[in-house]
Order: sequence, then structure tokens, then C-alpha cells
Amino acid sequence: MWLRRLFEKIGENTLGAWKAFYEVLHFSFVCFFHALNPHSYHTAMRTVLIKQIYFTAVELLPLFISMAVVFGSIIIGVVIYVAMSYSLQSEIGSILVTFVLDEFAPFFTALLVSLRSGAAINTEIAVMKVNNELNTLKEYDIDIIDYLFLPRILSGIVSITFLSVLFAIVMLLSGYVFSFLLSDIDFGTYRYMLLNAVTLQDFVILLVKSFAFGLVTMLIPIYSGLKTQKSYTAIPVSVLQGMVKLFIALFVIEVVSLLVQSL
Amino acid sequence: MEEYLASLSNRSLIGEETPLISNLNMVENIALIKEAHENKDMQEAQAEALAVLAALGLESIAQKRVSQCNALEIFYVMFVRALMAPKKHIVLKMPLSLTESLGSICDILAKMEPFLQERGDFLEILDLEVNRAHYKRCIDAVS
Repeated sequence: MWLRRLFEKIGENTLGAWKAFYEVLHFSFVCFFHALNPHSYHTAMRTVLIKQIYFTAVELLPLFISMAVVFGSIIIGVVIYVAMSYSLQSEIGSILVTFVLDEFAPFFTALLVSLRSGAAINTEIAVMKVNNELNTLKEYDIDIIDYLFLPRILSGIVSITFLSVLFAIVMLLSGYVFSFLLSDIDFGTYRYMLLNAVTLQDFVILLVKSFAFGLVTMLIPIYSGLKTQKSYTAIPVSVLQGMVKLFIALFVIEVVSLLVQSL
Repeated sequence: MEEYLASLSNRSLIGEETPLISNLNMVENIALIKEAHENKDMQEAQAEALAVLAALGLESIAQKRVSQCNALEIFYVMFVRALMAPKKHIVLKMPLSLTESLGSICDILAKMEPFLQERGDFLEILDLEVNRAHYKRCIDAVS
């Protein structure tokens, strides 16, 4: 009896997960087609887009650069020290480029922006849903995808891509400072190691991952906010569920990218 | 009342169903309509909104958000927002749910009348029969 209920529960949850995945996919395609329509880019939409890029990327810069310097200094210094202790000096460039450009920079940027902007956007959309403000936009013929969702999604993609590249650059530069203290590598040698190791593929991976992270960092919180029940007590539940789904999506993208790179 | 509202496709609604946007200030709430429908520049749309608020003596609330304004101020801003919409038919549904007292409704309507006439808008008020007495002064003034 309990086994039957267990299987029923597993089946129910699996079907629910697939249904949610299909709905998010459908929602993203609708947003994509709106993004292709020039009429979507009216003044109100552009105003929101600029504000969102400011809130997501520009306001974050001081903390972001500080963390890039701290992480760059320590992590890269440690990586170089460990590589040298295993006589892998010739591979230091490849290790650093793969670690920083392909993995750490985009993923860490996505985590930071998710925690900050993802949660805020989820809450914002959920509050608007509960307060009936989405209905106001509908009544006044203001397309909510064009005005609310598209600028946030585009700002996520632009911000995370820009911040990932910036993070990688600052991390690699500050990493030199620490490694110089540990291993006496001069800047010319360090620069040569990195430039020799970096390939077009690394930039493509960085940009594609940043794009994917940027998309889900905004799309999933927006979708979660839209699904909020019409009660103020449902808002924190919506934010919690949205953030959990978002982090799962970030890890899935990371794992898929690792699998693709290993092929 | 709901069925009648649903039958009116080409109208701007002022009611509990159309609250102001809470993450915008009063001027931005009004300017949003012009920015979205007429693609007006942000500064131009906000200047136009500010001009109407100033004409109503409400320029002090221009930069305030919903939580910082009282019910009457919010009601005026909702009215001005409806005036900015391209639709000429404005429906005011159950004003008592928006203002603290219906005693002031005739004064509010008298204040908004020049703007309605200037734009050529048609105002329709939907309310319960029990509230008819509150509109007597307005009806007497018109007739």
C-alpha cells in the first residue's frame, strides 16, 4: 500500500516537474518572440531596461570588483603554487584560463547576481501580482511582457555577460600580484602563459554560459513571481521556490557545459 | 456591474482593480501611459504629468510613492492617469472604495471637469444605488 503511494508520489512529482519545465520553456519562447519585435522597445520599456542594468550591474560593481580581487589574489596564487609543487609549470596558463574563464567567472557571477537581483525581481513580480498591479497594466493596454519581463531578461543577459568578463579580467590581474609574492613570476611571463593558453573556444564558452546564466537568472524568478497565489503570505513561498529552482537550473547549466566541454 | 464593465471594451477604468504601480512614483505612474502608448520621451511625458499635477495643486506628491500618499491623493493620480490614456471613455467604479469619504466626490469631479472637457473625455460613474444620495449635489449642479 505504502509502496503504491510512494510510486504515485514519485510519478506525480515527475509529471509536475516536466509540466513546470514545459511552461518555463513556452514562456521563454514567448519572451523571445517579443524580443524580436521592434515595437516592444517603446520608451517605457527602454527606461526600465536602463534602470535594471544599473541595479543589476552598476550598483554591484564595488562589491563585485572587491570579491574578484580577493578571489583572484588567493585562488590563483594557490593554483600556481600547487601547480609548481607538482612540476606543472608549463600547464599553469591552461589551468588558469580553464578555471577562471570557463568555470569560475561565469558561475560565481551568476550566483552573486541571482542572490541579489533574482530574489528582488521574484519579490517585485509577486507583489505586483498580489496587489493587482499586473491587471492595471493589462487594463491600460500595456503589454506586461514588453514592459516588465523583457527589460529584466535582457538586463540579466547583458549584466552577467559584462560582469563575467570583468570578473575574469580582474581575477587574472589580481592573481598575478599574489603569485608574484609566492613564486617570483614576472608579469611578462605570466601574461605570456595566459595569452598562450587562451583560445577562441574559451571566449565562446564564457559568452554562451553567461548568456544562459543571464537568461535563467531573470526568467525563473519572473515566472515564479507570476505563479504567486493572491495572498501576501504566498510571496515568501514564491521567492523561496523561485530561488531553489533557479539554483538547480544554474547547476544544471554548469554540469551540461562540463559534459559538452569534455566531448 | 461586472458584466456591464466587461461589455465596455474601449474604456479606461479607475477602480480597485487598477491600482497604481507601487514601484513607481506618482509622476512616473502617470507618464507611463504616454511612454508606452505614444512612445514619448521620458522627460517629456513626465513634464506633461507634472503640469497636470501642478494644475491640481498636487506637485508636492510628484516624487512620492503610493505608500507615502493618502487615499485622496492616490485617487487624483489614478484619475489623471486615466486622462492620459488614449481611450476617451473613462469609467469610475465604486469611488467609495478609493476615497475615504464620498462627501468630497462632487468637489473632486468639479476639479477634474476642465481636464475632461479639454480632452473631450466621457466620464461614467458606476456605484451602488444606496450611494445615490452622495451624488445628488453633482447631479443638481449639472441640471
